[in-house]
Amino acid sequence: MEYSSRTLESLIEALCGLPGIGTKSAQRIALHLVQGGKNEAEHLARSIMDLHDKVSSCSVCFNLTEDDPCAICRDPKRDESRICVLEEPKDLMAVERTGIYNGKYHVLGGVLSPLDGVGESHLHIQELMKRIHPGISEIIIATNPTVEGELTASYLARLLKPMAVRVTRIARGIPYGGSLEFNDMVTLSKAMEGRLEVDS
Amino acid sequence: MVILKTEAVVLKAWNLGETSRILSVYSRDHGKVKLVAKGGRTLKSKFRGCLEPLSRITIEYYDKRTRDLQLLGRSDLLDPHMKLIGDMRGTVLGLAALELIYRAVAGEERSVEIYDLLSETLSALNGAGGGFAEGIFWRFETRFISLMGYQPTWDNCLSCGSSLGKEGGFFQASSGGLLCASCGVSRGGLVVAGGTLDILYWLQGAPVFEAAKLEPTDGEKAEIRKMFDLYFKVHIEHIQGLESLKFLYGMESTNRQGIFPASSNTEIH
Repeated sequence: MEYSSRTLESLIEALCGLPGIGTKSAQRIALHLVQGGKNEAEHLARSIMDLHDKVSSCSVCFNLTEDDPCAICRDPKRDESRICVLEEPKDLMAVERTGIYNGKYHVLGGVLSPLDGVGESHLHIQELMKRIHPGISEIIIATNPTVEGELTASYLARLLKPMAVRVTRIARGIPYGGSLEFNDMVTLSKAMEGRLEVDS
Repeated sequence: MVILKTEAVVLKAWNLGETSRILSVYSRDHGKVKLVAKGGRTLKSKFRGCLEPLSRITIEYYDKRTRDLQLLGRSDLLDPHMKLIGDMRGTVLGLAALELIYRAVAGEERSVEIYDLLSETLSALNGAGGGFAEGIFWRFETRFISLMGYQPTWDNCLSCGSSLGKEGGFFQASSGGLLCASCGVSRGGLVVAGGTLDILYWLQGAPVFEAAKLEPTDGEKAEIRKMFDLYFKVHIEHIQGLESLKFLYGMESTNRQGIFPASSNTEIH
């Protein structure tokens, strides 16, 4: 046995199953918890247990939440006429961090993937359709700029077109602090296509 | 360990950990290869733009015979097939071609012919515009079967050798061809019209861009799809229908609000 304790070994194995954690990191975390105070371990254990007891998907936008509907869906200050469509809750967190968007969201739960047999029924597409009403002025499709993300964007655009709602796609371009010569041809082409007027 | 440099088409890609990506590529000089692009998903990655299915790229990788997953050292984008972005039908047909190679080609068997066929098929789908893109995919299937060594006989009866004319025949996937009307009556098979056989026969010699000019009837379309499906199920292990094609046919059968018209370039404001 590599470890003197079965409990320690079991914890290290469990930690290894988490994304981004290898054996050495798992060992470091486990030893930290053993050597640290009992309160810290209890707090961590309780937080993990609470995740499944308290956190679930919002029934409106499918973001992760403790209250249903989530705080964003309930917030009267947010612009209800715009819905930003995203792949995963982590994408929503990234957009929220920017602080620039004040509309509502809709999390699809993935993207259409013909190679893996992921179709419309596997995603929250029908739920998005049900949210469209005359008060909605714009749907912003913010799926990732990948083959599957673009396919999903086109698919949604086709579905939404007859509903007389403006459908927009987030812009693709040069990352801030980047340099033109190191950008791939797709990014550069799309950046040229999506160029904007410079305000004087 | 040796450093190998070649051209390739990305067949499939998966995320690995927080920032890396695994690619399955079909390369011109070394067949199907599995590569890891470390840190390939970060904004500063030197592989950015090269790690998406359908892209034609150059690869330089460290090849070690004892491992299945090779380390990608450098990659440049040759052709992203950019017009497929927004063209749902073209994208799905391109993905179906990738899926067929991914599932039918077992290991690192080099075939420049398969690579060139895939490459020209993707270029043609990219340039198909409002044409019949599925014709390009049928041409790909016809030639791929032949390159894999399973070429069926489209023009003569397998039993009596008579020429199959306008009356069509009975397709027998397991026997690798067709029976004429008189031989097939007793032995059975998928009934195929003469027009369908004309198309398949023509596709064997058709230039790739000509294939998009086909105008098959709904009956011919259904028969050709069924024939390829049966043929792959019988002759190529692991292929019980392509997921990409199931996706395409599912879209067509739903066909709500004209989601999937023949030409499907989508405009987003």
